Amino acid sequence: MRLALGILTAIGGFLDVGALATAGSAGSRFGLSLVWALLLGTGCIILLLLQVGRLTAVSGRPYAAAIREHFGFKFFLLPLSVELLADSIMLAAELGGVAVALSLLTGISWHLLLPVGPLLVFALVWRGPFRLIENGPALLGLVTLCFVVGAVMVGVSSSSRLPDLLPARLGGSDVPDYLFLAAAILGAVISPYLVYFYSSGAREEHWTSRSLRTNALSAVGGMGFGCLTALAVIALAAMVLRPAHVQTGTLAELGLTLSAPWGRVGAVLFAVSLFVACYAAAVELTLAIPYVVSQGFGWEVGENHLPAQAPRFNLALICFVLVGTAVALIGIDPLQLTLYGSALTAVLLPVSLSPFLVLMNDRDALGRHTNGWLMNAATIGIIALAAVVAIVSLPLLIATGGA
Amino acid sequence: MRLLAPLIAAGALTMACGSADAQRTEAQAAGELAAAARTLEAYHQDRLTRPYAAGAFVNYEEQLRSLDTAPLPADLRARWLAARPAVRRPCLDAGCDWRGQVRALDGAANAFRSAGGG
Repeated sequence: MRLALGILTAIGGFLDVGALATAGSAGSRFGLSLVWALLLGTGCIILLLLQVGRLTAVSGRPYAAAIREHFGFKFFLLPLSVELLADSIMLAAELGGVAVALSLLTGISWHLLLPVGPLLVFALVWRGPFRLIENGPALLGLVTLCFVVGAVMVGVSSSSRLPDLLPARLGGSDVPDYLFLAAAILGAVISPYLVYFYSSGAREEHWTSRSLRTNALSAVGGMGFGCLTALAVIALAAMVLRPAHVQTGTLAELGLTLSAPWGRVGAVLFAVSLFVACYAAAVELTLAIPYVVSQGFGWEVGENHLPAQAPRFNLALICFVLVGTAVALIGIDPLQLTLYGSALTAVLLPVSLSPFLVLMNDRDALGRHTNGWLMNAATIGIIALAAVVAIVSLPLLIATGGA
Repeated sequence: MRLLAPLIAAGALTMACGSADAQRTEAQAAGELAAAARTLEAYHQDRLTRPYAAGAFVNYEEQLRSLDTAPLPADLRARWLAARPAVRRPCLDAGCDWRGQVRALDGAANAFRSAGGG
């Protein structure tokens, strides 16, 4: 259970509605040739979580609170407002993903099932203690390991499919789509809300400087789990969908990948995995924003408190669920919503991440746990990468229409 | 001439972008039609549950609806019109011609793939 925070965080970055569709699209169109983006993104998010976990454990301050204290409220407003806007859209997309999963299990139109997701999310986050919120979805999230088993089974049982894993030769018109998918994978994995949530989770768990081993285990183990599962989705899409010329324009196509080794059970497993992943990501988002808002404004924070003990935190939570639900009920395709949300997040990615360089070198707060030169160099590299993603995301989104 | 050059360049760029957009639409439609064909086939081979197939076709129909109003060449429009009933009312019961629907979907998918440069 020491891994639970890492696994729950990873589900939001690697297995939510947008990440699943992006991984499926990458595999079905380009084989394994976009795996480099997934591995690079995983390395970056592990380094960021290791740092933010250390910051919270040693200084006792979560990331959002530390930004406000160091840079002032005016600076904090910029990432906060973008995060609010982008995460409202992302929450709506995850709620849509929950509805699509239920639709694949029941045959009922996902539009009719849209109200179910918000009710289930609210039921858990309103009174559930953080440990239950963390352990429940993290445990259920292990069902997504079926992608890993499925990929191995398809690869072993049909070696003729292995050549489909090879990188595709890019034609001229494929280049923008390839670059867009690379940026989308990087943007999904290096997402600021994962950093905010992980840091808030560390605070809820009362990490201290003695928790640094737990931090390392949680960050590396959790992100490793997410990366492995996303890698399996890419491989399955490459081996099953690519030879059949199927592209993942909706989420339903991905079920065909698991029905290849397991038949009807595989399709049901996919729908359950989609439900669990989108539900966990929705829970994570629903908590991340009230945490960021409360820490930014200096309000009392705590999922472990009764609503009356942290009224402003819980008010922010209710407002955020209502906004996300309202956006979801418009009925826009969840994948379309994630494209807009991710593009918005990507634009301000460097602003959200640049405080790392200052916060992680603050001797007053971190003592002997400040960054060494190697970690600082890696962080500069991540911020530079984030800047590239920020610059190219919107033009590529417009050029490709979302690939 | 100096004034015309940027206009001509802008016109050429717009045409190139429009052509790329059309190709992308056709390639995406091909992928979606192929997905519909494989889903219907998998259902009748007992590899998908009925709720899954029904839920999947709701999504496919929404994705492909835009083809009704898209400016398509005559041959692609004919292929789409032949495949459209299978997308809107897929044969999920015994006794209807699901193989005919799969053929219509595959035919349309191949035509759109060729047009999309695939």
